[in-house]
Amino acid sequence: MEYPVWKLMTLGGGFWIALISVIHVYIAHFAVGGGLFLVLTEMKARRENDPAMLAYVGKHTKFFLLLTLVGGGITGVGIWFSIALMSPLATITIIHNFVFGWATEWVFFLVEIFALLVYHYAFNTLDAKRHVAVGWIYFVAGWMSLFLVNGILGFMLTPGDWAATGNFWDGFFNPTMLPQLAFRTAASLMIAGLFGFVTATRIADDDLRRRMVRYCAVWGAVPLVAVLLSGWWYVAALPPAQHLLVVEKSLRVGQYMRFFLWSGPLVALGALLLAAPQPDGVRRTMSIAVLLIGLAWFGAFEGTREAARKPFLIWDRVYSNSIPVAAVPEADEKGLLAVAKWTRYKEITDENRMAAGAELYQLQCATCHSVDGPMNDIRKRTAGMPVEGIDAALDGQGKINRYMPPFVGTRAERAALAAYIAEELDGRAGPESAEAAPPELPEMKTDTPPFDQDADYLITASARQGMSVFSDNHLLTIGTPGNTIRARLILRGEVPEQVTDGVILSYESTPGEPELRGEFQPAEDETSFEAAVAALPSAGGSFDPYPLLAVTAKDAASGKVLAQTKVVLPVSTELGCKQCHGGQWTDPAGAGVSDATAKHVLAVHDRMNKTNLLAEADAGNPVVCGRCHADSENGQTGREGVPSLSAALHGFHANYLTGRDGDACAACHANAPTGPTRFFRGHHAANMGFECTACHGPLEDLAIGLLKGEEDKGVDVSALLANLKPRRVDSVDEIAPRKPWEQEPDCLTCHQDFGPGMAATADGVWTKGASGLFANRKDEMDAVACVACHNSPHVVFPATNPYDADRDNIQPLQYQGEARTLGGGACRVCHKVDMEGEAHHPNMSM
Amino acid sequence: MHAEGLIPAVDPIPVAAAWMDPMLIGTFVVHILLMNVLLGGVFIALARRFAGADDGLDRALSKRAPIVMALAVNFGVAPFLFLQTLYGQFDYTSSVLMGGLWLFVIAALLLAYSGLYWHELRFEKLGGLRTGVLAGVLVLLLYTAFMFTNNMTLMLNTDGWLQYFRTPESDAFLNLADPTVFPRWLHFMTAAVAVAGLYIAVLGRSQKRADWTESGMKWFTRATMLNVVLGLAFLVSLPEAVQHGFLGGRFNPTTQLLAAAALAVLAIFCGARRKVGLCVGLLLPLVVVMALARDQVRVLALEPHFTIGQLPVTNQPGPMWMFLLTLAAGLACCAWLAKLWLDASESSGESGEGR
Repeated sequence: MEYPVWKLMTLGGGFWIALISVIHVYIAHFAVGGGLFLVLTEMKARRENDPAMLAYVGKHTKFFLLLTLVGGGITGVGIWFSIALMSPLATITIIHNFVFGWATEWVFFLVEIFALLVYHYAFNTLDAKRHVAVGWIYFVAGWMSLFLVNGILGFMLTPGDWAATGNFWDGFFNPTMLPQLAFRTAASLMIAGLFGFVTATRIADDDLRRRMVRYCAVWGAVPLVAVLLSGWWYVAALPPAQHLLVVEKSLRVGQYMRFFLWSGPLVALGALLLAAPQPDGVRRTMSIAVLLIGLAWFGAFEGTREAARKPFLIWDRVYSNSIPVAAVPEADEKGLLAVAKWTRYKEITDENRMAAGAELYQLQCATCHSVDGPMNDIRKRTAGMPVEGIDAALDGQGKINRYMPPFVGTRAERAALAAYIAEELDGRAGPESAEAAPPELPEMKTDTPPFDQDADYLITASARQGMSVFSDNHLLTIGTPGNTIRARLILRGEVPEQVTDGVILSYESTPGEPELRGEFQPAEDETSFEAAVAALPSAGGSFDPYPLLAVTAKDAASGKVLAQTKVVLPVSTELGCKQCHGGQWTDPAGAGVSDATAKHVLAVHDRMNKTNLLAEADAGNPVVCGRCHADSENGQTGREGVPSLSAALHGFHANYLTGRDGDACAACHANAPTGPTRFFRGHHAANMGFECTACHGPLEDLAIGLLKGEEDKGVDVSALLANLKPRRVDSVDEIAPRKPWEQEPDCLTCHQDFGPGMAATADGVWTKGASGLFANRKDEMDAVACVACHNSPHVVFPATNPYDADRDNIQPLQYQGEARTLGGGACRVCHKVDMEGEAHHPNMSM
Repeated sequence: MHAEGLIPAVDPIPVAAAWMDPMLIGTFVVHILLMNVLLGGVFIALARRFAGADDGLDRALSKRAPIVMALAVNFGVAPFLFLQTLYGQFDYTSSVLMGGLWLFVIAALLLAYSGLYWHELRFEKLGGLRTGVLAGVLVLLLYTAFMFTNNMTLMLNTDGWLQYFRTPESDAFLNLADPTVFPRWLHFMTAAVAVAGLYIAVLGRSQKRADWTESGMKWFTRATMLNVVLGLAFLVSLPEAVQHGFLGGRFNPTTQLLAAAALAVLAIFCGARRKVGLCVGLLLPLVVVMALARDQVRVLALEPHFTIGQLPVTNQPGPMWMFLLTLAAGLACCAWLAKLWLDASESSGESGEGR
């Protein structure tokens, strides 16, 4: 933010730092351990009066000097150059706070050079005692360099009390300083052995070569014990947050860590194998192989340490992308481009959107992500993700998974960055303009069945869910294909009855619809019938989320038809996962979860939760969400300790879709204004213009309620809940916990005393239990279900179906010739005569 | 857009800048002397090779060059560290603006250093390739010096920073639009030849090779004469405000310039008379005065934006004393090591090489 950016694409993402550091660190540790190797081996040679061995030490010294002074010395400066180029702000913070630590380290570097030059150039001229003393001076100076750099490196990961005091010593003697020092010291001894092989395997004399290779094997293998013990100490000394990242959370750390854990013993094993008898050529090749595995092994350690520090360069102070933590609030408010000094564009406009996006990319992403390069390739990581998905990913960045820093800036900046990544870097077409008119839906024709006003019976029928949305993808299953139709056979009369005995209710698809037929079963409430109808919205060839069923009631004994009506079976596969997860619709109308989408979803789940779902699904075991995440609506009990499907899905996605309204709901729940389902079609939507949030609240608030409900059950949802900020109230405490599918918005919150709705929102007041749900509730007489007269939830009469306005109003039109509440102003529909009073509920005649 | 708004903010330093300024200048003097011996030495060795000289000096220089390079790099670290502490917000900016051209300095140093060892260890075997290797080393060292000149001037030339915004897909750029760059670089490179010449003269003395001394003094004297001219060109190229400071506007820069001029003239005079000891005696104060003047260029150039006295201080002197004590002990240790080495080589009769 304070500095210009060295723009890197292919070789961005910290490539130069990684390249230079990995080489430097390996040689630098050789410079420490190898110093001890030299002086101890010299002493051994002199003690054993072995001039050949002494001559070997002399040769190894030359190799050591060339490698450590040229390779080690210059790459050390190189790290400094590269971090200052890539992360100037963090570098200058470390320089300013620890200038005299670095300066002291420089003195030891100077002594190292002098000592090593004298040790080498005076190898044959200096007397034994003095020469050994010079060797010791070299080693002590080298180790002191390690001691000083180690303290400052440790500070970056675990600043300890420095965070509060800003004191040099607090930062230097930080919580991981000692274990890291022990670890690095032990590792340097191993590395000394590995480099020893390079020269030892090339000794001409057979006997000496055998002895020296064995000697190096001891160096290369034995310190592993100390490496492992100090490594364990190091991890144990990490403060909770860093500890969590290393041992539990981060996939990236895990990869480095696993590699480190098996490659260390492999190095030691290689060292021991080298000591075994074998041809010289093989041994020389092996010595190089072991040296290279050692390089990868130690690189993996440094990778683990760096990854454990994510998302910071200096823990809690400077983010990985050099944005200071303290600068975030202002940048979020005013915009990062406005606050950062070296930006060309201060504000996002239609004209500069891509260029400003590129600038934001360089400021926030390029430090860790390359474009088509070896380091964290952004194109691979966003492959297949639409711009909405990238935008959402940026929104949720650093919240549930703390590995990456949060996106910093305004929403317009976020959109520009997402557009730049999706369109410019990934080369995908931009989204269609929001102003474009929604596609025309094919027109459907709904014939209202005839009704004889003198008939003895009538049927009311409606779907239990105003829309059942599910995934029928063979890799990933959510929900159950189909919907449940509830029907009541009413014997009309002054005192109507709901007939359940001696009658058979059946359903059959209407001509031109997918073939469905079956019988209803008596429902638990003893007044109605139910039929669970398995159906897909596209079984008939073209996408049809509203197939019609003809419902017929017959006398069980005589088979005489008593009544007939039609009802919509609302089913849809328009689950909007692809909006963010990418992939295509399986149905060209705009529905159906494709394999590509399902795989992306599963991959994200695997990454975030350390599951193996994608592999399982690929192996032919479809993932059924309800198997782990309880889904009471679909009769799936889930697993103990795992949040319910509703809490998990809303809780997770609420972190990624903040600050939105009904669009957040519509994107997933088959209610997109441009989609083929547009399921919210009842009176509240069609005539009142309500959004989902009017009753359910904004996504964040809804998710908080669900997550708190899980907390009450003892399920740990802290990661999902930690960063959610309620929208309609001030604090999380003000949101009541609730159970999905049982505690839903209560109609009476607005419709007090069944009157016309007055409150602005129904959000936040939930039904006490399933029995209070609109779908289950009965009138004041406890006789007639609400839905019998008002229709399914979300499709309250008078509804407007997007395909054919009357499709959801069949029974009111059939029985009373008017699309409104069944019996509303027309008591005769059931009672055959006009009635006085408001028996079903107050304010009936409004 | 104004450069003023681009200067990065920085966090505090542990002790007052006045403590660190002498450390910056002091360590720089050692670095520049070592760098001069290295770069000038390579230049003279090559030049003499082209002139057909075959008096063993080539070999003597090639043996010492890697050692000098190790120390030159080491003594580059300290002033660069103090520079970043006092002027980091300027230097990091110019470094980033130079981008890959700046980072390539590391590769150049690595290759040059390897080349010097290659040249030394395979001196005989290299044969005809020897000159090629050394020329390669010279090119890499000149590149390094040129990058440092660019960085050290771009950090002062805040108006030059605006170039960043003029090139939309801006790659790295140098400070070539700044008229001071080339005179400054040439001034320093010529100084390197002069200092290396004097070093050769001293080497000739210690190795009892009067011919080397004679040759070295020639290089010293002529290069210093040329450098007076280049120094003037550099002075003329400086921004007006800075130049004014050196030409009577400010006491310190003006006295430094006068002292430097006087010392340089004396050095030329003594050089012409082959007074090696006197020249060495003059060179040290001359380099110190030049380093001070160089610092004043920076102070005057940045004065409209920043002075190091403005840096906030956390008042943590403890680590500084740790450094100073370690430095004293470290230098004593190095002196002891050097003595051991010299004693050992004398007693083993390694002196008098090149004969």
